[in-house]
Amino acid sequence: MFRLAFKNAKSHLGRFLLSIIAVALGTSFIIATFCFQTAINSTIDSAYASSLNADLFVRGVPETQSSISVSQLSGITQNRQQIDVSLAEKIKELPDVQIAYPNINKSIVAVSKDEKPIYSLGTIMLRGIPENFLQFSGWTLESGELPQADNEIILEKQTAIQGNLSVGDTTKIVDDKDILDVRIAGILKAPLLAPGELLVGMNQSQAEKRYISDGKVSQIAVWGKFAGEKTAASIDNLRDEIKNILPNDSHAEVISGDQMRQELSQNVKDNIGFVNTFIIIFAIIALFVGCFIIANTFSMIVHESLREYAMLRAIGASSKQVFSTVIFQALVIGVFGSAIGTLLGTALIQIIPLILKNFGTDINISVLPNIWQILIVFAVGITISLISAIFPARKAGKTPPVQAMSEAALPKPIGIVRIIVGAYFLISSLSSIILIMNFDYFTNTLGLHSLENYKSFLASGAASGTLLAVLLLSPLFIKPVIWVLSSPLVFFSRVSGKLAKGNILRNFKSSANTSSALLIGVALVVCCSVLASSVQTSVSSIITNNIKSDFIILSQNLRMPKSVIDKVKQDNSLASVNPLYISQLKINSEATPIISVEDTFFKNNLDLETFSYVGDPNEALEKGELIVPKYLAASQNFALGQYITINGVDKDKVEKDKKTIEQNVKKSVLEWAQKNLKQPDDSIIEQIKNDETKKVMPDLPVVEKQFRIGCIADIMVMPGIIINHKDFDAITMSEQQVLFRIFVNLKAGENSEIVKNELQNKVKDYYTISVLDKNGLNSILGSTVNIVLNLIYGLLALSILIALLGIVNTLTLSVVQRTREIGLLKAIGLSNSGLTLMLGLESFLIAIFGTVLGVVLGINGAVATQTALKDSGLSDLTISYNNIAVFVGFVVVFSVIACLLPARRAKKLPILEAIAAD
Amino acid sequence: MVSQLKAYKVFKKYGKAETEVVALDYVDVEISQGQFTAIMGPSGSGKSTLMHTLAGLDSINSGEIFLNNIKISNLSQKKLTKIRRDNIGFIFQQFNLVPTLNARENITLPLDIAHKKVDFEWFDKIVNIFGIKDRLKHRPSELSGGQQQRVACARALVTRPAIIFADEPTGNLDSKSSGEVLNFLKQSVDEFGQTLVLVTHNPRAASYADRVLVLADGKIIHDLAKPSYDQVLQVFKE
Repeated sequence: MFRLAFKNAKSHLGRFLLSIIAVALGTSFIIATFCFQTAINSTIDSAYASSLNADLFVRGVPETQSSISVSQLSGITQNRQQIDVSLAEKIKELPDVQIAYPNINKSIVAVSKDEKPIYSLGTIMLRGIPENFLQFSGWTLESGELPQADNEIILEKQTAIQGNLSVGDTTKIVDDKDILDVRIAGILKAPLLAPGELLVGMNQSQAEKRYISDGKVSQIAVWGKFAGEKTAASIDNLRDEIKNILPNDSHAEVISGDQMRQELSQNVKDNIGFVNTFIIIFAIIALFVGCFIIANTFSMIVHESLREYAMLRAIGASSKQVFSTVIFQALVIGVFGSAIGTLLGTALIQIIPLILKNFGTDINISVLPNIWQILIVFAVGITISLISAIFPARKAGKTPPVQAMSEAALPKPIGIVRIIVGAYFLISSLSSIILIMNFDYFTNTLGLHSLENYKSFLASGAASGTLLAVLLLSPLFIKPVIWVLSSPLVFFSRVSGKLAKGNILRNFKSSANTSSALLIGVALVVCCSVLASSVQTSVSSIITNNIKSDFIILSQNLRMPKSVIDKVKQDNSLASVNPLYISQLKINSEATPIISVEDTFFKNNLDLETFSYVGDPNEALEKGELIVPKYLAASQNFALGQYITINGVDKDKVEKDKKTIEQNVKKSVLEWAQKNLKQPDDSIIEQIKNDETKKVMPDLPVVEKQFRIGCIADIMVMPGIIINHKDFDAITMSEQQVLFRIFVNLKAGENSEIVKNELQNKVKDYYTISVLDKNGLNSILGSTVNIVLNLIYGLLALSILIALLGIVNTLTLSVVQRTREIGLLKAIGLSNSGLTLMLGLESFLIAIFGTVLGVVLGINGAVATQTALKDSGLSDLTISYNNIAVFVGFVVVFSVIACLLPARRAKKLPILEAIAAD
Repeated sequence: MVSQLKAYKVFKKYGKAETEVVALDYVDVEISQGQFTAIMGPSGSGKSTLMHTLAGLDSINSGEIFLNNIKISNLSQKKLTKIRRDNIGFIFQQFNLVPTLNARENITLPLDIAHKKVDFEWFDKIVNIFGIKDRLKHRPSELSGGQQQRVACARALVTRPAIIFADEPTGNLDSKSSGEVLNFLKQSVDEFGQTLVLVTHNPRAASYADRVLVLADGKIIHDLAKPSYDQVLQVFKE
């Protein structure tokens, strides 16, 4: 029987190949999605492989609830205590330690030769480079020398290339304190660097002087001396040695470099978790599209061969034998298809680095699937092939021979189960939509308040439910829809139009399935596009309606040096300059963003009429009360008038302690001088300072301060608890206060264009700071949304491409099935162009059916989402019909191109053989 | 009588070298206007090849073929398509109809392809002769084999082609249905002066013709005018 299966496949090589192509198309999208994920993860992993390549790290232990430190600001990784710089000296004394130094890693802006900020995927990092860096780090010096003097820096090669800078050039760097004029002392080459990673080095002691305050750092990097080879065990030994000499009160711990790198990349991966969610969603879409194409091709092929199987049954093959013949073929198709799909998908994904290159990022990463991903793809390809074959195979085996012979020509009706399930989804999602549209009525009038919590669930359910319902029921309404769509075509091209319509309706099930694959892709593209434009208009309506200020000054890095404020204030055409600071402080042991503003902030800059709030925001600011965002109040159960506690720094005590330390240092320096009979040098004074600080103020003193909630407001542009600047300053160190925005108003009668140019000139030296009016703000937001959209479009375009290839496949198969008919048409005079037109119209009708439904469902999904998120800021719904028209045009053009291959095949059919074919 | 179709020294072979088979061995033939000509012969005699080459469906190695004094033996596929569309009607043994179109649409298909108007008087006359007037709305799958072939005949006639080629049109039919179809075809020749070439190996079918050409080994060995059934049978026995 297997020989028969083999012969069978061989005699219908064309059909066999087409089903292999179907499996390949389906699986290729899955593998492409996997590769994309691998690319992202390996990018993150390699990002830490070389830039943090020390053997061991010493760092602070996690912060307890009462302790507090400046490090909280640095964001992702560190809710850890700071440790003493002096620990580095102590560790260095160990015989097995080659070097130990405070690890300084600061995000900065560097300026290229043509005076523009050097662009990078993240920010550019500035690191301290110790004197003997080259001996232990594995880095090599390309040219020049290591930085020695003040204001000398060294560049990693990639940074030098991107900034077009070479040794001896002068340029600028901007850190969170100020602008520095620097000279490039040399260029270093890292052994391995993550794509897009840019590094600038500064002499270690200069860096320590500039960036270490109070003798505390977050990490110390340690390099060991190893007798033999460096192994995990030898590193562990060294770790234990260091652990033993760490004082109990140092709040420090030692971890291996590997662990550190792993933690950091895990952190980043967690932070971009949404990307993974995206990828999973795309993988599911891929599976869906793939299943449709594979199952469709299979049912067409088995259906076509039914008569042949009937003949086999008639000459005595058992139904089991026929069944296993079909299944065996499916297995072969699954294996070959998955193999080709893996190759195809891997090839497709190589396009991604090319796309990223357009964004200015050079990625030389080879994205190849790993063995597990390949196994999964094979499992999926084979399983879907088998499942797709099981029902037709059962049918081939079970149907009595004579019935099978006569049935072969008739299309099968739609299964009742499919209709019932489809109807269920349709009814339930329609009722969800009704519920969402009249949400207030149900929640308030009928008192179903518990529904509030399920609103977004209902919305996504409604959107995906309608999609499923349409997918299941599309064979039911393809007839009327195609009837309507094709009537103009039949009018303009009688023969080809009528034939095309007939061919689609004859195989209406497979036509519906083919267009479903397209439908999914189009629905998602349209949904994303509508949501994106809605986000844009919603945000821009907030900007236009709610903000009164003439300009907002902000930085690409989100933080600006404080010196900007003074520069801006020099301009005397301004009526008000209101800086905003932000800091993370603990409330109920949770780090919460706190925004500090001046008392006049609301009056000057926001149109309070346009916000919803309880309490009085202006009064709250004046009285030193808090303004809490509505979402936070809801999640934390904060009420108006309630008192909450903020953990801050006890600045009074800090001042007092600092004075004490100063006096003690003076005393100790004198004592030292008397004892050693000479003046101490800088490093000894530094040492004394550190020792004294440690004695008097081992940790920043904490104060718990109570604040009354004076207002609960829904202010979209202010993402945190708002407090007046005086109270904020009393509980935060200057380093904690991040200047992130400046709101500016003009004096009456000033020309806004002129002032804008003046301001821009003033902040020009900071390179990343922009002065934006409302239009500028809108376009910045627009471009952010667009970058995200482009990525999504890229992936979805893949799914549409594969769906279009599915159309090619279905059409080719249908040309093979209709060999005799095409021969006949040619014999009675249908020209080649008429034939091409017929197939083109078929392709067009299938595509337009999928596209029209996709557009409707996509808009439906976007409307549902927007309705659910209305209260969370997605206030406007904007359907950009231009965009949708472009998508539809794109799909239509490509669908017509899709017919060319099958048409070529049809044209090449010799008339006589075609008519005689069986 | 005016000749509709002339063929001189038509030579056609298949295969190469050892496997070479001569299908037509320098055949000369003329088909007169308004005549019902049957081409007979055993399997492999070259009768189908002769019909295919005369109809421009198949190429020839040498010789010349003229349809209405137009040389069709060296025309491009594109021109041949147009000639077939405008001047030639076909009836095949089976699979004559497009399954997605109903009987009426199938009949008018050649006119639609050529963007010509349907002559309704003519159309009615044909469907009446072939007795398919009440079947026009039906799809091919809803028609019997005989009805399908009658629709195919009507389709061949509707364009008033210069010549109709029928390749074993009754090969798949029972004797009653075949008799009907052949009678209708003969009627169309007699009443409308239609030129018709019928290829068959069935002496009964051939006996409806005005002229019977008998082929063997790629050559015409008999050319009979208005033979009776017995005459045809007699020739066949040889």
